[in-house]
Amino acid sequence: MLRSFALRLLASIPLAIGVATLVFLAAEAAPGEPLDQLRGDLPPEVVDRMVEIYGLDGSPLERYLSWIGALFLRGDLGWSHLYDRPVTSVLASALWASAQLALVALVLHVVAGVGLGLLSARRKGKFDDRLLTAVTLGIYAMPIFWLGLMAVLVFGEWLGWLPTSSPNSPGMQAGEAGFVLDRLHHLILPAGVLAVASAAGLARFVRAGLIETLALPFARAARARGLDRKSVLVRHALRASLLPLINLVGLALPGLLSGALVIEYLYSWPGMGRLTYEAARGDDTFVLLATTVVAAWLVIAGNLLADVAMRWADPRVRA
Amino acid sequence: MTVRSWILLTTLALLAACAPQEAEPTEGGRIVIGTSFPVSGWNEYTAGDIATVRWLRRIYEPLAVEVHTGAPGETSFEPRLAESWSFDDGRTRLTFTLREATWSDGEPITAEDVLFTFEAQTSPEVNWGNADTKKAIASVELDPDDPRRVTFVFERPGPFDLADAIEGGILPEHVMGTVPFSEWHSHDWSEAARIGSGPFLLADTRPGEFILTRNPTLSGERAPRLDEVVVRVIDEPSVLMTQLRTGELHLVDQLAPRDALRIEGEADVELVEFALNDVAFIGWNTARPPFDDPRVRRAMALAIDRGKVVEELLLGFGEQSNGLVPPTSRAALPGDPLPHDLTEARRLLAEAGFGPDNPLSFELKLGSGNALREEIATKIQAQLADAGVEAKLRTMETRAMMGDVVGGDFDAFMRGLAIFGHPPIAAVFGTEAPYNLVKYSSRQVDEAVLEMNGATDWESFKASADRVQSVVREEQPMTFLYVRNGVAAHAANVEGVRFDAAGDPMLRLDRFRLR
Repeated sequence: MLRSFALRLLASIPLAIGVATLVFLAAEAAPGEPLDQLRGDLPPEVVDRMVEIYGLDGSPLERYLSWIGALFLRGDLGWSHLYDRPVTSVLASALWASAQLALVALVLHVVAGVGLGLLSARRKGKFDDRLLTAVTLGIYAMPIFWLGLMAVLVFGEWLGWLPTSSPNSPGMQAGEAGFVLDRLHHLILPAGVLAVASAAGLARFVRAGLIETLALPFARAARARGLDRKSVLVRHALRASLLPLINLVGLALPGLLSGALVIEYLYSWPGMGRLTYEAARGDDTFVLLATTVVAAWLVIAGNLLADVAMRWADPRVRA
Repeated sequence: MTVRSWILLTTLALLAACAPQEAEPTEGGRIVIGTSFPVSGWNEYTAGDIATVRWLRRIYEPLAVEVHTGAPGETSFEPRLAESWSFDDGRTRLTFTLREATWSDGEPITAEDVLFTFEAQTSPEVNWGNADTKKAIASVELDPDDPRRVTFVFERPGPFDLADAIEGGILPEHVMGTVPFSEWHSHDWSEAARIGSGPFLLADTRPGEFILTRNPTLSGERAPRLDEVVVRVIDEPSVLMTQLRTGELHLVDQLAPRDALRIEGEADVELVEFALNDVAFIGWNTARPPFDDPRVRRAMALAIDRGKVVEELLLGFGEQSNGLVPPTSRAALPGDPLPHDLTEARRLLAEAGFGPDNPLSFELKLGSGNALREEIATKIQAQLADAGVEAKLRTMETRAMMGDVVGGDFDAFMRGLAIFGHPPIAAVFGTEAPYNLVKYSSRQVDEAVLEMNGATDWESFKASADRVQSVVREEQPMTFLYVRNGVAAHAANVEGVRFDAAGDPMLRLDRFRLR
């Protein structure tokens, strides 16, 4: 299994380079020249000099070789003119913030999605199943931006229970007593909205999977052997139905890590999504390149992890 | 006194005790400010956007500041690091005397720091966006006998000498001089900003938030009233409003007009309107048909009802614009803006060969991400349709739009300019002017610009500036639409909120206090 993982990892390297190249080409194809946005606000000679200072001059080929060389040889992603810091430093703090959001959202997503799917499958055709179906379909159909705004209105403004932006209370420092609890308190709304929105889809998926599995001969045989419906559902059908979930979660993780753009924007969460938004707004080429490349690499890594997890969990794949 | 009287008096005393009392203002404490403008670094000279400078100027004070007196177009200068200044008889030498003060680490603030700052401001390696303001300064001289005296030597007298000399915060040489100018653009300045001369110092910075703390070396009137200011960058306007209502924020530095009206009148929230000097305009491509014809441009200006735009979309938070220079500046052109006159607009269009049989159609480009401007463009589109003109709106990513504009690939574009200090009339309208994006060329204007650039006193500058602006008003290479005011909102328990310096709304942050 280790050998197979190493092979997959090696195969990912040209893919990673290819993706970085494509991202660079896409950025080059964008209309306008770097920092054109500043023209009209700053003297032309100042903008020209900025282009030079930030290494945005030269031919596209020169810029590509310099960027890809620095990226793969030194791990240097350039300088962010928007934040006046190295892109790696900007990216590291954004990734960490997104990782926290993603982790909490993922746990809630899986727990809620599987729980609701299980409940729905168990009560198939009954009133509570129909109600859950209607609710989950309703949530699934809601635009996440609207859902997020409603959560701000209800839990932030009307009830006043939860903070509606930023990862911490004003002035709260890492290491201070209560820092972790404060962070969790601030995570509830953004992670909750992210989880609820995606758990609705997962619940539908789990429900369908369980109902399908329950109709398979092994499940019927288990029932015929006298096992109660709950044991068959949880111990046999759920285990069999959860295998495809590994793929789903593996693919969802990079999406969450690379930034739930809408949620991070709405709740001012300083993660990858918000960074991408700010970089696009501020014409920060190197940050935009970096966030796009990292997002693409996370998809590759997510796939790789999902493959490894499938091999570990499913003997049929290992064989 | 009867028992009844005792009961009555006691009841009244109890009621008085229970009545809500006006809380006394307190010294110290923390306020949280919400803004949608992120800070782009901690060095004014490498990250010089207005949103950043307003915080940096609380850390690094300039020699003096220019503030509005309240009368239209009138300003005065308030001392900051300098305690006094004077010109020599020929008005080419401006000498500042610094007040006795230290940096927050105890080092004295001296004329050497002023000279170091001037060198940074004019260094090509630092590449400060506002270096133009220092063009007329030939040198900065120190007084060998007095470390607190510094003289700015001008090549010739000019109407903006004092304003130009004081532009920019003074930096600590002993902290920032250790980094060569060539490395200023690749240096993280957040550590350096913990040492300053202003009322606040940078205490902490993290993505989406930074904290300013009081400068402990200041005392008496110079000391800020607050201990700490937390500034949070919140992109979504509805979240800013929610947090102001719930008390999570004490102040929001700028609201959209619609949000301002929505929150106006709510208990515990007060609005403050201030001069933003944000002038919006449509630039016509004067180098190609149909806008190479001044009659067509003037017809466009007459067909646009700016009064309605201000009333219905700015909701009164602004005024119609008569030119590039906003009315808060004494360089503004006197008189009213062009009226809304559809009949005259149609007549001019007919004279230029456009009418029902040959309708005028053009593309109006505007940058994305500014919802208010998009609404205004849609309104203008409808107004132009009344004059039989088809304006096709094209909202583009700003970089792409400006790429097209700089390359001359446009019919018309709409954007805004923030105008502060030295009015950039010569930089916008001269044939060779750096900001002449509309390719406008007029002999009359060029002559007047030359006179402006050579003006040694305010009167001659103003006379030439008025000539330029009058020609521009007639020929309309750019149609100025409105000057937008800023609207801030703060919780009623915050006192001392006053915005009287255009371009630096946080100038009085040290006077803010909690009640």
